[in-house]
Amino acid sequence: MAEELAAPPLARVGVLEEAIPRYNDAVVKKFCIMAVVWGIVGMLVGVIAAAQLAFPALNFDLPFLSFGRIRPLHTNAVIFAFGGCVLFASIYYSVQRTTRTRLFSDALASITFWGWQLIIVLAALTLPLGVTTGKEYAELEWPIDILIAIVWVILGINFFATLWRRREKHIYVGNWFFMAMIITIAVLHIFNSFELPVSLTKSYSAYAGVQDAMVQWWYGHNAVGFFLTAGFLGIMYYFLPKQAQLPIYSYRLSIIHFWTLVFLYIWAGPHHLLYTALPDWTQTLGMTFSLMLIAPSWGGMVNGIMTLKGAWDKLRTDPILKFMIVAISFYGMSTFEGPMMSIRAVNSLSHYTDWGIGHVHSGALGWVAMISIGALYYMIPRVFAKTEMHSTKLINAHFWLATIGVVVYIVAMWISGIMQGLMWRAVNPDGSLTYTFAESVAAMHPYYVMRLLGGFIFFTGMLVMAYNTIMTGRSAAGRLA
Amino acid sequence: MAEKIPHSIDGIEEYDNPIPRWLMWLLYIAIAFAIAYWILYPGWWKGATGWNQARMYEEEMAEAAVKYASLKNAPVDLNALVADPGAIADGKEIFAQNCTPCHGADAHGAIGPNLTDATWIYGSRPEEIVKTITSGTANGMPPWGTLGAKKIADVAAFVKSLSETK
Repeated sequence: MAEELAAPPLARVGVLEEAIPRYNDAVVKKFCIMAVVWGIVGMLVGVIAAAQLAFPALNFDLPFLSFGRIRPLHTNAVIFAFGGCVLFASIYYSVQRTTRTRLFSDALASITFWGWQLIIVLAALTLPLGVTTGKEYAELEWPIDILIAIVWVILGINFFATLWRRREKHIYVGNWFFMAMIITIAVLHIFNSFELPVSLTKSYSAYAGVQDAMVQWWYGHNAVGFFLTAGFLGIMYYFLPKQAQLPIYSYRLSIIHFWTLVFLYIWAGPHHLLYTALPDWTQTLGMTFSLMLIAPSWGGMVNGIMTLKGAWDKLRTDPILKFMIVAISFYGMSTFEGPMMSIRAVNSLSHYTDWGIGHVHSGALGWVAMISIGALYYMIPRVFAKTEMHSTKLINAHFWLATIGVVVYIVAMWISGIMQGLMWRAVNPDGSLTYTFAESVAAMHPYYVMRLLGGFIFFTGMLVMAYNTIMTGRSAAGRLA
Repeated sequence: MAEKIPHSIDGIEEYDNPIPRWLMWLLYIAIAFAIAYWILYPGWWKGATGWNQARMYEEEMAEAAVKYASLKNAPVDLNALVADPGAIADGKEIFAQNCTPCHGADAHGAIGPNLTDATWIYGSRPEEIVKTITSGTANGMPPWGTLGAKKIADVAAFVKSLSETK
């Protein structure tokens, strides 16, 4: 297919190439649209879960609405449905352009689209019904696990085959991160999902006790490290220089920080199990590798921010760049906070508190969602054959809603988390606990309301995005036909 | 600015700037810290400090045993305590942390009996209540002697106050 099309003579002029309709952007468009849809659904479920924590009566005594079932629905929807669709869209969009090759197979791309949507729908049905493995971020039961593995391997085949047929000598840095993510996520997902099925909807983990916990957090933390970090760094490396129309700051830095990041991240999982039955040596390993991760993580931030050096004026007029630079800033902040929280002494205060929830959301909303939204605003007009989004003002409005929302959210969780940690460990002069657990729960209430507000503001931003996307699609409808 | 790498991919160019020195130092310092930590704490070997999680627990428990021993087992004047509002308030806390799973948050009874009515199954005198709490009952209440004399007396004062307000 690709051979029929001669390589354009102006290989260096990327802008011209975009006008040549030889890439498969149909699948990118589908993933972009579903990313917006699942973003709204996933964040709405998050808002409902947050509302239930502040006002427990809101579960209406219905089992499928109860927090324990809504919460995994929220995490799976935002990470794998929203984040997943953004990744698929960005990978398919950028790999074709950075290799000057059409996707290896349109059919396989289509299978990944429909397969991924099927997985999401199955998740949305089974989780509220209480069908779960009970492993965090890996709650889906074995038949869905198998589907995920199949779809993921097909993505891998399509991606690597496209790279193999590239007409660009060099493999661009964004694709290194995508390669690392695709391979590592496949390994993590498959090994963490070893389980013995007892029925169609129930299985038991192949691992027991502390080994099960260790495998689970080896998976869980690297879902963060490779899916939500490496994958979205790949997105940053393509869409930031494209949107800013500036060269990447340092090629050397991208090499060093890529290899140190992928080497160090895979060991950091045990920091989720400090002060547990996990052996001391394994805990030490997790803590020290987490600390060594600061510089490699910051490598991505430095390369992103320094790329914009000398062009800060662009931030005044370009809200898409604003999304990207704020995303990179939150990335830098949460990759500093994470290693600090992995230190044994800090962890003894922060673990099991809302501080963890705040940390996760500064990464998930501040970094992942913001860079995703930036990339989506870049891709959506292009896949609809338009030069720009329907309204730049609305992108700007979305930017402020997102930024204010995430700040309110994180501040609420920092206060409540530290307060929780301090209340739990407070001791009277006679050695008894100062507060009952219920008292610490009551003290959280105002911050849970504040978190609900922050999450809701972020959510409304997604509605603005949906409107802007629909209007962009509508005005493009005539031109596509 | 440094030289550019001689390629352009989809219009994206890359400089070959050196890595900021502070960032490399941050990496080296973190690695040095990790190595020092591996020498001092259990990791590749048992660690120079001798610290480990199990020993930390034992040491803290031993420290607490000494620190709170005098308070825990000091002789208490039961009759004075049952009338002392401070003891009743302390007892309420201890009750909330230990007794509510069986007797209910409002002490109206659940697995264990209602404590707010006028019925005393095992006696209503302070010494009798203390004995019930300390040794448990044949009907399934576990012994709570580990709370120590002072706390048991506080709970007894609180429990006694419940039936008297009724």
